Amino acid sequence: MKYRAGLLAVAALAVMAASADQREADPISKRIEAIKGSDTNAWRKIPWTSSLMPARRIGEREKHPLFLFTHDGNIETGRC
Amino acid sequence: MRVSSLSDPRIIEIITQYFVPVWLSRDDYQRDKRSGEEQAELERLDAERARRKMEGGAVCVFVVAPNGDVLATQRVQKAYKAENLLPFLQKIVEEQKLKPRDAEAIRASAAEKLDAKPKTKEGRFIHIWTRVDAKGDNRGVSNDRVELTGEELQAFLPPADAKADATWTIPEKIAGKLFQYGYPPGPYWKTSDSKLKKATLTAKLLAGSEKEARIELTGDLEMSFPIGRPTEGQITAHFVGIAQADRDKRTLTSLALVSERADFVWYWERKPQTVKMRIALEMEP
Repeated sequence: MKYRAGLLAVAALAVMAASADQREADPISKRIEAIKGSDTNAWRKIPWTSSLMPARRIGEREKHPLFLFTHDGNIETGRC
Repeated sequence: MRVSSLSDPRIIEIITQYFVPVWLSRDDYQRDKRSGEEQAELERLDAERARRKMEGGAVCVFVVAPNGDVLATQRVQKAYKAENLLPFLQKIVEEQKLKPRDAEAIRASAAEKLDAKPKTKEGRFIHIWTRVDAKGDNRGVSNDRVELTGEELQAFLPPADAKADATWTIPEKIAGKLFQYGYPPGPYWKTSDSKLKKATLTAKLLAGSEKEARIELTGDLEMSFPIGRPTEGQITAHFVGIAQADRDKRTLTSLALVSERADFVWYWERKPQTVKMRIALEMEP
């Protein structure tokens, strides 16, 4: 039983080492894509107006209310 | 909200169709410096919200009627969940009997994309992305951008007579200019709070053609970035990368760096908490 558990542990370590080697072998560009890819950038699809006063004027002209999101930090860099 | 409710397709749809959307950074990270008129309008909206005892605070959703009245507000602690924000907006659409906005008007009112051109002659933009993959703490991916001048880019080029395996050092000032953005995404945004302790970048010329140089890059970063005082976050990262240069024109044609072994250590009740990070840098084509 101990022998079998030891074999499994060795096999698991080998798989881990292989995946680390594979990662190192991947082209840099592929690894960069994996880092910058995100499913949390969809908020950029919202047609945000440039700032509050133009938005107020557009809302008044179109008779549509504003959706105003006030926040700390910088939303465009993902730091908010 | 950026990575949660505002990235939910149902929220994107209802905001796009029925509202004039605008975000406003309380820290004045707008693309244009805040005008006196805008500051006065923001103060008026805040005062009206407070006077009418509507929920909210600095980070908040306001729905503002075409005449400027505050129709409704929702505090971020609720609005970050689409399950709360969606019925809040649906109620306004129904009560105000809103019709969808005209598609052309939506297109015309959307802000233009960020400046496409660097400010300096021969300058190029480098993007820096950071991400934390810890479960339950999805802050998304940060995307900062810094401009390297033509002179700074020259530091990545091999000496004219360099042979394969030649090495040279990129000045720490340039490495630091790139690496200072290597802190986790989230509600901490003052890059000037980054305190570099070590920012090294070494270049090595790989075998290439007479026209094109391939350059291997390796680097290390040690930096502090405070997450709430008096505790301080500590970042360590090891970078590997590749750059390419046109040897005749003496220009850098690509630059890419990645760190998949970055650690961010912060302290909770004096106990170190290690967060695994990944960082990527790439020059705009």
